[in-house]
Amino acid sequence: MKVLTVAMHKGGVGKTTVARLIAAAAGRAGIRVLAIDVDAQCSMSQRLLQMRRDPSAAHDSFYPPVHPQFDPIEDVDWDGISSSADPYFGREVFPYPTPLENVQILPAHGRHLRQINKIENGVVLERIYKRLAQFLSDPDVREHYDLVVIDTPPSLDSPLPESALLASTHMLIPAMMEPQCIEGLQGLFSLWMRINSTRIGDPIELVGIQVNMYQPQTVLHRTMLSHLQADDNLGPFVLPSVMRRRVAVAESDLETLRPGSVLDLKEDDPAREEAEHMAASVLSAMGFKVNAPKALESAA
Amino acid sequence: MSSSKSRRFSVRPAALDNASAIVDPLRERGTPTQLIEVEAIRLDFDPDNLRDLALTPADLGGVREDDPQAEVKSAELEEIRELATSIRAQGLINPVEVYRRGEHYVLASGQRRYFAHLLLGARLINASVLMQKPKSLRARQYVENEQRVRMTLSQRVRGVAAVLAEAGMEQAEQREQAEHLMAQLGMQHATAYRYLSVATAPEPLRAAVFDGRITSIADAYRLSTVPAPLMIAAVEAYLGGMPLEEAIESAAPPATPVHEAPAAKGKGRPMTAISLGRVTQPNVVRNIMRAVLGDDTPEIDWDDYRAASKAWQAFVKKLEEQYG
Repeated sequence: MKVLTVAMHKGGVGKTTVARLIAAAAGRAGIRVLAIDVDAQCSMSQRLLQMRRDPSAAHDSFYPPVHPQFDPIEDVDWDGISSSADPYFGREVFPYPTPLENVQILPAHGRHLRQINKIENGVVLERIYKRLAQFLSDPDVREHYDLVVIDTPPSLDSPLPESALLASTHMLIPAMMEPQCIEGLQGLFSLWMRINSTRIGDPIELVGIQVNMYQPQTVLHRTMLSHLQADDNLGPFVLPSVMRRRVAVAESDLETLRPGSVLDLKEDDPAREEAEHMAASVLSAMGFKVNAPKALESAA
Repeated sequence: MSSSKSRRFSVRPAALDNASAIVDPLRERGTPTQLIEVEAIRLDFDPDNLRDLALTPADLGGVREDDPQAEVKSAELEEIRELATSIRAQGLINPVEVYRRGEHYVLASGQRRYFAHLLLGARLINASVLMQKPKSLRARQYVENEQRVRMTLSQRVRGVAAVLAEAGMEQAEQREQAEHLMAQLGMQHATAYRYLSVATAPEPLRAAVFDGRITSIADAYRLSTVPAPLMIAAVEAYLGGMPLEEAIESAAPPATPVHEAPAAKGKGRPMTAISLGRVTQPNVVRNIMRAVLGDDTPEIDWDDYRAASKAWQAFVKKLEEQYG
């Protein structure tokens, strides 16, 4: 089983969109996928489930719906809800089916994940870091899934990105070609290197930096991409499949279009081609046998 | 327009250089570092003495009461004892980072973990051996600490001061210092200036931040903007429990009494005395008397308006006699 963490310490770079596209494409290729949303904003969960607003939370917060397989008569010890916070609280986990073929999800629970984010006690934090890895090493989980895709919060203050990475075999970094994102690379690379230096066994493979929401008509984006690609150390990590800023991608998030996906657009739609190319590149790099990505014209 | 933008953006951002430097070791070895067990006695601290903690190995058996940093060291020792308990129970999750120097290793990061091992009497400690001394050691430590645990305000401000010291920028222009922090630590512009203002503030404020009595960056920054002569009083009032803005206001000198111009000949009765105004905050009176009398300031209950007024009247009378 491979575990991919999609991480970036800045918000708004399209992390959830990239994670969702990879999960969807993998599912269509017959790969059994578990998507895990550990972002308290519940972005991925809201795209795949009918999440419910949590009236008891101070923030605008959501939690999962009742599990479709919940039986109120038989399931006396369970309230019918399961989330990605459950492994951290020592509870049993019940992934939800989604409209995507071969994809199940362990959705986020906004309030519970925020509780985890607030923990400061060093001893408790050390246990949190290991929890997700312990859950994913369960033989039952490994038997049911080929790929786990984890969507993480864009926050340096949360222990959850590190917890996800400790559980992962691969990492993908979506990035916009703008200064704030470039700054975010420092912390993320530092974390990746530090975690790898302590690993017993295979290190986390960095699949690459996925350039996202790219606008080739802007000088800033072109120059930043050029700097990144030219760098001796970072250049090799920049994936060739650049994703441009496309309205179709944003439209696919519309509730009224759910379960909309750019993968359902016409075959020759540029948004669909780019998304398929990106997903195929990432999955191939992780060792999955998928159709070879069709060559796209250069991003520049 | 396009060509001038190209010229502006043609300089690589410093953040890119930093990210590149972090992964630089991969190019030579293919693995980030080597993980080994190091004998604790062969571990030294950085020769430039850019220490993260006030604690020294000698303090691990107990902090001396007459130590001027006793309070800070005691808090650090408590933290390290907790860490030692965790390491005894769970093992060391994250090794310390070291780089070689002859037969010894120098600690690049992980002072707390190292001290915890000394407390446990451990002979060996897991360490990641870096290829060479990191160029921006303090910046690396700051980013690493920020990744691991929510740093306290004291730790952040100390970290900022240490990063500037490492780069020899303590006396640089504030703008240059801020740019350095933004580049090295990934701080936003406004955040860099706030931390800079606190890290370079006069002693009473910095001491209160370093010893943990002030824990809010917003409050610390606001206090750092109070003019230096009034800052002591403002910080004292704040630490005494007064709300922030009230504390700052209480430190402000009383409004200068408006002196009436000497009456023009033939207009009104000439003044023969100067009004010294009226205040509602006893701290104003106390601070003025302290500024003049120093240790001779009478010890009274300053919340007792009658006592404060009497003390003030005696003070003014004494001054009149002295300068009359």
